[in-house]
Amino acid sequence: MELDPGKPTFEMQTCKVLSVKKENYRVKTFEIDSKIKAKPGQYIMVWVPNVGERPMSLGGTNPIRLSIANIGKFSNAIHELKEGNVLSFRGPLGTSFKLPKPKAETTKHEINETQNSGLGTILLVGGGYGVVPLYFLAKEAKKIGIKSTVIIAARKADDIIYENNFKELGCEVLITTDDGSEGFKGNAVEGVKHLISQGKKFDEAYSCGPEMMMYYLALYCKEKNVPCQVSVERYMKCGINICGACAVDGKLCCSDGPIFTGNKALSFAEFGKVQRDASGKKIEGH
Amino acid sequence: MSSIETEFLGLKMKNPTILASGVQGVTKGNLEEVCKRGAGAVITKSLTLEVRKGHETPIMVQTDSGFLNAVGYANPGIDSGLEEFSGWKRKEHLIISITAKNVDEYSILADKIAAKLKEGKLKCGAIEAVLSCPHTPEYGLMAGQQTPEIAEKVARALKAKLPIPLIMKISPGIPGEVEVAKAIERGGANAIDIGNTIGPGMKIDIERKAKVLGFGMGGLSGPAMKPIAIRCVYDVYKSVKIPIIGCGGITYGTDAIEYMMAGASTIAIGTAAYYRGTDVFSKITKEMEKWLTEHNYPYVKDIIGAAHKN
Ligand SMILES: Cc1cc2nc3c(=O)[nH]c(=O)nc-3n(C[C@H](O)[C@H](O)[C@H](O)COP(=O)(O)OP(=O)(O)OC[C@H]3O[C@@H](n4cnc5c(N)ncnc54)[C@H](O)[C@@H]3O)c2cc1C
Ligand SMILES: Cc1cc2nc3c(=O)[nH]c(=O)nc-3n(C[C@H](O)[C@H](O)[C@H](O)COP(=O)(O)O)c2cc1C
Repeated sequence: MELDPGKPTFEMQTCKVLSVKKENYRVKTFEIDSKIKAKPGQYIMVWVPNVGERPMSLGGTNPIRLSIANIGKFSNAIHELKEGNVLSFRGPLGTSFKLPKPKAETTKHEINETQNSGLGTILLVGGGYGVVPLYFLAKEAKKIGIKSTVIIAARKADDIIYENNFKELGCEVLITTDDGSEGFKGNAVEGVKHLISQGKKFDEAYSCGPEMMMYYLALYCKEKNVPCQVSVERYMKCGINICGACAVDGKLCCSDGPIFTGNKALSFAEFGKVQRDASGKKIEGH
Repeated sequence: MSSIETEFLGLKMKNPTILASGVQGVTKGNLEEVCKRGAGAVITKSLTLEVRKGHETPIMVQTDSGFLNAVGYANPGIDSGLEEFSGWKRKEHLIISITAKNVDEYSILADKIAAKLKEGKLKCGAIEAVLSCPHTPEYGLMAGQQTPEIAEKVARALKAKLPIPLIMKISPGIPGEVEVAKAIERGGANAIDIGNTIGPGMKIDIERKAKVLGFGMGGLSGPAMKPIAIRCVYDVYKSVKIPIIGCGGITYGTDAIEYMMAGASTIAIGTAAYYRGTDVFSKITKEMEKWLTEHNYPYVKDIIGAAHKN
């Protein structure tokens, strides 16, 4: 009689903070001296004793890379950390983004002929700290010869993070801002349409960020028949399929997700519509 | 093949497995999913009169052979909760769990449920009242509710208002549990759930020199509590006539069989949804069927209390 082999670890680890870097007025990036095995899209539960425990996306492993927006009591405490301090966490937890399978010879050839790159190109659409897991994904994609085009969507210029990180990986980057203070003026989905109108083709789209952005992207991808995967965030507490706080329709985001295909997410009546707070009470109109 | 179908409190169940309260079960959609994955009935997260955000995270921490949890009764409150669970359509029964600070609050909760039942909006097979949470101030064990006097008063107050069966849930291993069980029966309740988590216990992270749980301490669930709950089921079975839900650490079919032999009529499963995934309900059901077939029991009910006959 076997226990579920896929069950996530609950071991708490305490590791050194290797570096702290300020990304913008409210986001800091932390590198943590740890060698966990994780896949892009998975998250860890970061614990600050006597403060709390919160889910954070992985921007990479070995060292672990986290980028955290300072918005409340827990993230305040994290922003106090300096190089040489320690950070505790458990994980990795949850499901991951799946990269497209390398193409068969013929398709590879066709793609080369249509001036698309090598094995194929994927589209990454990130908003806010949503770029963090997408950066991890772009690194993994590059390792197997898949190129990434990235849309970094922000409200205004000073919200943009990770532009240089993606560029250093050789990704093509399109910045979109709601107010036009930098890059393309418009939202992320308008940015996607802009790229498509230039004749760009993508094997698959991946997104993490505000839910409405992912919702409209998933709808657009469905219409255009482009496979897509999104990271659905809900209030998460236990992270291990037990407490039920992060329910979206019948599924639990902490363990059935956070990564779902766009079509699966669209099949949830609550995706793009209903979230819940720490008590389980509905917050509508997201 | 042995028959695993069960009748409990007049309710037909496809198998004797029940989702334990507070393990998943925050939303109707999730409870439906748990039924699809094999549960014979489901119990909701406990609802209180007020909205409760619950304790600060971490709310769970693993210990040897189990977990400590200190969720602290996070729930959207009885009004939103009853709204959430209204319109239940599946054939597996929905059991609504409630908990309160005192008898008066229990009466208000019962009025609200009775009103919804009368309107025909709420379809639920039974109500479970919890006297026994070990980690929430003003409730359960922390409020000293698990006594014969309070148990009987709560049972009477709820039975006076509820037209459907009442289950009352206790925590095993507390002195006087048999007296509490008898009082629950005297008060008119229809079943006893044994049981809730035990403790409270504590976990300290030695690297950080700090208590891990946000609340500092929490109730112990999982295999670690199983022998205590089984002993309690055994003792209570001898002393009352109303049926028992066995709960605590049930992870495999053989655990369920053991509880039933001690005297449980049905069994509730919680923490094993971590160890074996949400499909644990169908897995345990299959394992029970296999065991019963191999041991020539035509019906699952044939093993209830079997350990008392030897
Ligand atoms: C899978 C996942 C990955 C995440 N990755 C990152 C990341 O890489 N970087 C980052 O900055 N943030 C990330 N978050 C969000 C982050 O967990 C919270 O926003 C943050 O910890 C807020 O905590 P606080 O105490 O600072 O603020 P609070 O004042 O407690 O909360 C502010 C808001 O944050 C959200 N929040 C708080 N607690 C949680 C929780 N337990 N689960 C989900 N949302 C919560 C709520 O919307 C809340 O209104 C992620 C969330 C999820 C679910
Ligand atoms: C995270 C968690 C939350 C729980 N919340 C409740 C609750 O709200 N009401 C209740 O009666 N029991 C609650 N319990 C107790 C369970 O219903 C069950 O009695 C206990 O966990 C023992 O069973 P298990 O070992 O199968 O988990 C909770 C248990 C856990 C682990």
